Amino acid sequence: MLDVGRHPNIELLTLCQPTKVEGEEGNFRVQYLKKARYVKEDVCTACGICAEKCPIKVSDDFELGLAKRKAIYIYFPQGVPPVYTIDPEHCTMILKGKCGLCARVCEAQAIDYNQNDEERTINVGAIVVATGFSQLKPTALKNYGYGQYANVLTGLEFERLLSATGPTGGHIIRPSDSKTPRKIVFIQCVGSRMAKGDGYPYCSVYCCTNSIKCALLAKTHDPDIKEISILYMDLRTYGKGFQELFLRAEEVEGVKFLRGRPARVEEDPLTRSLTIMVENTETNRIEPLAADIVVLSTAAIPSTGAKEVARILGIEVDSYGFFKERDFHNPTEATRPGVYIAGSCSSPRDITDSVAWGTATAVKALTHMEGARIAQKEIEVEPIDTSGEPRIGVFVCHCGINIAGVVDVEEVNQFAQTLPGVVYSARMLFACSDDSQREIQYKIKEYQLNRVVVASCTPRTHEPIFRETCGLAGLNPYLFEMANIRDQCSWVHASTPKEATEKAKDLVRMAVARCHLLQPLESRQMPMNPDMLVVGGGITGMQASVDLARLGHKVTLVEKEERLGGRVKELSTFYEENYDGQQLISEKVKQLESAGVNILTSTMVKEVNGFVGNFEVTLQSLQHQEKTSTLQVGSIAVAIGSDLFNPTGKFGYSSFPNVMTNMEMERLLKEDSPELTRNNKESKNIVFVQCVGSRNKKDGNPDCSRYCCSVAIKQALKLREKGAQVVILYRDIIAFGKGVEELYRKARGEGVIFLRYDEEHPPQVIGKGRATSIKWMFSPLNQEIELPVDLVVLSVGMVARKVDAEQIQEQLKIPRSLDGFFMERHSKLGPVETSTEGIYICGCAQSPKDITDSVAQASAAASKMAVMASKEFVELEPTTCVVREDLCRGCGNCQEVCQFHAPELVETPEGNYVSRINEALCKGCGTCASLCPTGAIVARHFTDRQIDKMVEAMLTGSL
Amino acid sequence: MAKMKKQEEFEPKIVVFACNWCSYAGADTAGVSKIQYHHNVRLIRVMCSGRVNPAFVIKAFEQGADGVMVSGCHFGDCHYIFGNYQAKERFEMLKRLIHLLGLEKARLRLEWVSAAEGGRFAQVVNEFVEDVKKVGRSPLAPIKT
Amino acid sequence: MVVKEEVLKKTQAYYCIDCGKCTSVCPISRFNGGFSPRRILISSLTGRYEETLKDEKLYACLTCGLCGTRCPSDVKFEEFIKNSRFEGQKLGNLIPCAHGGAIQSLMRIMTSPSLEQKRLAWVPRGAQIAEKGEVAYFVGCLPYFDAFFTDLEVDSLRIAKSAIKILNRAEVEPVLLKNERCCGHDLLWAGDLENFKRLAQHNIDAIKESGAHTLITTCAECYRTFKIDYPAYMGPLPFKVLHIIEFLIDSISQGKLNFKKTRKKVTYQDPCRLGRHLGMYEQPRMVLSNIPALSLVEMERNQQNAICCGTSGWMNCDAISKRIQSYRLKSARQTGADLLITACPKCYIHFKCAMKDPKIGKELEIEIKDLTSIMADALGR
Repeated sequence: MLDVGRHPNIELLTLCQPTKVEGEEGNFRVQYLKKARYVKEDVCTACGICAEKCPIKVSDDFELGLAKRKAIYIYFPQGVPPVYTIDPEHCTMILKGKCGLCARVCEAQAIDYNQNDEERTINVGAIVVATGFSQLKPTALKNYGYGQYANVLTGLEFERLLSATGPTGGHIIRPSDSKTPRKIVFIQCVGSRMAKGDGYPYCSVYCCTNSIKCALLAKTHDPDIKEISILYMDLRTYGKGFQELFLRAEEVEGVKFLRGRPARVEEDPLTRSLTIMVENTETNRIEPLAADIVVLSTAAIPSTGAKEVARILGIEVDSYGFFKERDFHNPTEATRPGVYIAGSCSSPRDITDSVAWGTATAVKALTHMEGARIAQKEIEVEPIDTSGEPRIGVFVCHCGINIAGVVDVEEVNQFAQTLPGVVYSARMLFACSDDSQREIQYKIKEYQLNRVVVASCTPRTHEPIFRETCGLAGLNPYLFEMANIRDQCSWVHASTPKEATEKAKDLVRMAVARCHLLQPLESRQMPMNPDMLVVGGGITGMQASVDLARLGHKVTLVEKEERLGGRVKELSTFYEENYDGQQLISEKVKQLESAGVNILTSTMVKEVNGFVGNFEVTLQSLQHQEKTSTLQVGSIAVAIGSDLFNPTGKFGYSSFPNVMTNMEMERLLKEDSPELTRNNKESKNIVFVQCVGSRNKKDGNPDCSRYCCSVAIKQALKLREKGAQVVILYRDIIAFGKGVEELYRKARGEGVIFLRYDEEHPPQVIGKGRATSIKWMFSPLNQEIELPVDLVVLSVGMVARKVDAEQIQEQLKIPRSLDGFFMERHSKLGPVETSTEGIYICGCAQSPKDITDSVAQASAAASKMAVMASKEFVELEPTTCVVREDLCRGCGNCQEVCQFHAPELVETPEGNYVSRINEALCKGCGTCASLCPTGAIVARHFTDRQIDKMVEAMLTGSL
Repeated sequence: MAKMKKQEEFEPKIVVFACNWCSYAGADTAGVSKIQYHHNVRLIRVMCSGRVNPAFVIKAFEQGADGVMVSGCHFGDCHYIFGNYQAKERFEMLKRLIHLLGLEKARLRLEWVSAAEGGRFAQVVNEFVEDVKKVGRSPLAPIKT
Repeated sequence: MVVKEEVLKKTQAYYCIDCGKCTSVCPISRFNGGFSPRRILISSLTGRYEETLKDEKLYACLTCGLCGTRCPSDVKFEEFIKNSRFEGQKLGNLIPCAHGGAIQSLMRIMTSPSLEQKRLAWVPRGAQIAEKGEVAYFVGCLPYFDAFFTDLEVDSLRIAKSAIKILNRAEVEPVLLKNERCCGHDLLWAGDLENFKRLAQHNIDAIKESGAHTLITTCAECYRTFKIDYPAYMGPLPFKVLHIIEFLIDSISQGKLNFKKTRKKVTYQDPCRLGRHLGMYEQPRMVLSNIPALSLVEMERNQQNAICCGTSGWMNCDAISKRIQSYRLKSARQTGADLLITACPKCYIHFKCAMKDPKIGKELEIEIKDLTSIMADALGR
């Protein structure tokens, strides 16, 4: 959020609402209403005195009514821009002209009661809609007692209880009596997957995993919570790592998963405790469950006002009111050209996918802009002299009550003043707020501080912000250090404030100690090559290439097969569309050609050298082994897709000719094979087995493969059309995407039979020569069932490509996760980035996906690459390792250990060899430095001396 | 006469070297989730567990640390691919040195904690603190350099 | 300044006649034109002693004593350096240590009185050792080196095992001290006199307690330290100190040991501490000559003129050290010997380390063995 607030190319218009959109793609004229804030945005320092003094208390929307706020307020503490707002519906000054207290106490004189709503206009080339979703208020679903029983909460309300910044400071309590609950029951699908009544037919996608996460947090957070149950129908843990999360919850933390959907919640009026009657559909017993808190996983519904937004923007909505996507392979485009949709406004989505979607819209929007460049902040400041003795400034943050509620911040502040080198020390309410940032800059100049310590939160999120602040004051940003007294003190030692304070002092002393030894570092610039390489010519790679080439970039697309199109080209018709995979691919090929992508089929990447902005790629022709060529590019997208799990030896596959994979079924469907049609007498009996090589601890992909449930449903529907009897054996039907739950319901309506099996008792395929029947333990009837079969279809999972992925990992030096798929930089915030700058991953190379999700990720990767290419230079992080050549013995330890090939032994004029580190390749991990026998390698910003000094400061108290 | 004041419980001093990407992040997750753990540890952030020079650990003991933990990413999750394998190798050497010095093996620990494993971070720290409390104050505690 | 005068006087630095012979012979100067023992002395004599103390060059000197063999004025340069490093320690100098200072730290840890090491686990089954007795064997840092330098394929403990084998064969059941400390050589030469004295006191007490009247070492540095520095800084010792070479000579002359044929051509590296510091040039050669069929070929520079192994006290290990080692190893290979013999575990480690070089390692390779090990291996029936 802070990034958005600070980005030079982003103008934030908050409290604004579009009222009219004229024009067309590339040239929209948007009229919007800027609502009165009654506070001057550019004057308010967010000091908070106004809210302290305001006498009007109002229910806090952000805390979902679990807490109160004032009539002048900030929506939530970290909100951007950090400016107060007057709520005109409750402020007595606005309503009746009485009070005016806030204006009197505001030293900045930011209050302006006379502001009015204003009509404004803005011209833009493209519009991105990311209005999110709302949550169903389950009051209408009376049987669950929400709104009636105090201890029935929605999932989001429970999240607020779990949140450290929430109304209870992270303590889970029963609203009725503020006691810690011992038993918590989550009820899934409240208002979702309801074909009638007051709910919605679709699946809300994120709630299964979210409930697991909340259960885990609650369980690990408070040992008094003894029992957590999650009541579900299908556990839709579809994402990368979600299955692992589920297994941890069930097997390690003992969260109880009970398959069953309760009809009502009852309250004991005396104890306010709750009882839920539920049929455990696995044991077939009706169980009364007692609960102190019931959490309802409520449906995600179209956001309030979405229809109005659609009307103003001239885009269509689906039958529920979510924005319509152009089609399934252009999922980020709305129905009006130039308008793009991201996140959950078109269908419920989790954070990872929303981030990918959001990123994807950027490359689409860019097609309407010319020569977009990231504005470079040109700042001329007097540099602070850093040569002399350290003059350290320490800023100790309260983080509201997050730190100050536990740690004695003043004591830490007093302590800091006693430390050698510290010439200034102060407390701050929120060190990251805009006014504090200005204050820090001011103090740096006033005291000529040449080192700064902020004792607040984690450098992983906030170091960049404070570094920039130092830079703005003319202080080299690498002369800044943080002490994490929130995440490591107040939040985790809440019951021992004295010890937490002592620890905070230690951390500050350690930070100051390190500060003494920090050196100014300068980042260097290297030229940025705007050309790009996309590896893999499946639907993902093609989409990324098209997106980039349409922006005018020179894009090379490399495919090792003779033809583009990967697995998609082999697919039969998409359901409810009247064209097949090959047609989709042909269409994309046309787009590739008209966009001018350099397509190289039967070609492989042989070698990659260089670094972001400056890669040199050697390509090899697979038809003429000796033919190689080189290519210079600035960034690379890896879209090598995945393999399908090979089920040989399982379920009779490879022994019986009539056992096939879903891919083989796809081909039969495409050919309209006579094998599938009813012969004169009887219907064909076709049985699908789901999760073959997915969600499996031993074989294939440990996670869900995402595509197979919907594909099985699609194939089943087609087979029904041909008159077959179709049975789908499944563990959980994970029908999570847009329209998939509806398709699932339709398949059931068409007579496709869905029967469960569990992981421990997989079905057995029986036959001689041919498979003749399939049998398994069917838990709802508690007996073994045997069904006759003519065909068995195995829905095989997606697994990471073996050889290709190993080669790419080796060539590009990008890591893979334990499941073999390429590892994204951050599971939520960086789904298409890798640990190596300039190298991106998308589609099934990162984890299994369907076509829609793959193309969205492809566009997201393209966006990142386009942003890269818009820069003239690559900034090289200076926190790399360097060699003091006079100390180097040329032992080669560094060369041996570095996975990025940064160190190289070079000959000196004296005839010996010394290591030299290519700073552009060095990632700064410092492993070589710890292996260097002589200390010749200096890990900049994490030097031996700096680390030793911190240890010393901690243990001996010396500085 | 009632017993005199109970002997003050021994509060060990423990240094934790945590890699930026997994373990330090795991500690952050513990923080955000407000998972409580013993206050005896002080984290020192390094970019990778492979950065931890054995000398850092030995010097920490020299200066009286009652326990030292090195914590990195799970195998396969290292941000720098194999840094944690290096950490493991160096750690084996440290174990031998610590043994020679006669320090209890409970004082030295290597753990893999991912960014998501806030609970695990807290649990590992708690176990470690308990283990170190059992073996008591380091015999090197009063040493000065 | 009183301290300065005392150091200059005690080490005969005042006698320096500014001739530069020292620099012309110094192995560091040979590979690093910026280093000059003469200039260090002269600038100290002309009122810039403070600068000398703060200069990293103070720690570059190998204290190998080669300059001393040539100095016409008999300046004790290595003593000057050692005493100046004591002053440097008082100023809180940062000493350029190899291995991140880990080894010095281990040594300082050993000053702790409450330490109870577990340092004898390596003693082979069947070895005859005692807790109390006439003769003690001082193992030194070998168990620590063994743990620390695994990647160099240096079997440091083989030296200790060999020593026990020799002693047992000569019908000596040596005392092995359970809680022996580092002799303190490296801390002493780094200038840390205070911690050196702590270590020395621990060792003297432990040896006294064991009842030993003779202490045998297999390390050139331990030997010099016990022989010269313990008496100098701790007073006269109540026991005799022998290098195992001396013990071997005694035992051989008494007919207690005999050796089998070992058809090998070897060359010998004189450790500075054993050679120039204590004048033991002939004895190791004499010991080797007792192995039938073993032929000793000398490197071009030997005995008084021998070149140091390039590093001392785990300090000043750098590109220059490497070049000294390369030079020395090439000399060894030029003799045509199959084997390079040293009598100091550190020479052994430093040379092995120099061979670990992906570029020129092949040109430096030669098998290395400690003198104690080759003698033990050659023991006859």
